[in-house]
Amino acid sequence: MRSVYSRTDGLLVAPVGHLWAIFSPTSGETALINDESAAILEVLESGPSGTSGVCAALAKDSSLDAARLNSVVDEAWPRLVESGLVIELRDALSKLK
Amino acid sequence: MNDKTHDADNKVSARRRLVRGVFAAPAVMTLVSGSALAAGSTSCVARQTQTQPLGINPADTWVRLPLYEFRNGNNYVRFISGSNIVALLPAGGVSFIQPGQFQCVEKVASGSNYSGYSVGSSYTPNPTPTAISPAAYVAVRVDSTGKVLGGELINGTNSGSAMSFTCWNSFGGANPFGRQA
Repeated sequence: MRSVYSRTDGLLVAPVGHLWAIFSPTSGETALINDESAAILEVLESGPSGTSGVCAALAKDSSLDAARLNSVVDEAWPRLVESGLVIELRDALSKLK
Repeated sequence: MNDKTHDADNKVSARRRLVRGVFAAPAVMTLVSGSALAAGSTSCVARQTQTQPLGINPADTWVRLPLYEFRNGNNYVRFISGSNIVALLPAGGVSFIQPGQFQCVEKVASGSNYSGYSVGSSYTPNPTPTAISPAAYVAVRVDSTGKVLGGELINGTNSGSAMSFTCWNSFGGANPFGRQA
């Protein structure tokens, strides 16, 4: 089963030049992210989504084929999770058991 | 700051900033917090300074500097280079150490080996110590004004002591030499 990701609650975001500063209350860390990472988080504002859903939304923004974005977005999740910016819902649900 | 990357008032949106036809690899660069790094080490640093306790400011940044050493078998003394530290300074910046000087940060020596060196003191040895291979590093603290602190005194003078090896160790755990900002 492919994972679904949710944006972490309480993220604080501010544009800084061509980047974005973002604070995660989960990790307690502040990070600088690029437009692509920030765009993924914006898509998740609408609700949890997996790679295909995020790619479908970003394909419209970037005029790129969703299939081309698939591997790029898929490889981004571990870092976003590690930074406390997104939660992998499969893990969250398993912890409730 | 707010909880969204697009603010209804200023309409700044990351999705709108994406360049059509381009989607770079999403990047996340964690900023290193001085307070996070030093949380377990504040008392250690405070004890190592010459006079006043040293405050740890979250706005501080850490940079990685190479270590140099003299070695004779299992005996060695290790140093940080004043030239490397001064190179980090902005114009008019102050440092606790001068170019050409080397400050002893670790000493493992028995008997009379390297008896002339003490941890925390600075020297101008000739010949100079050599870079350790494979490379080893330490973390040096730089405050928000660009001042290289190391063991800088809180009263702002440019004298100070390097932290002992035990303090460096507390910043990076068992392997402080791999620590970097």
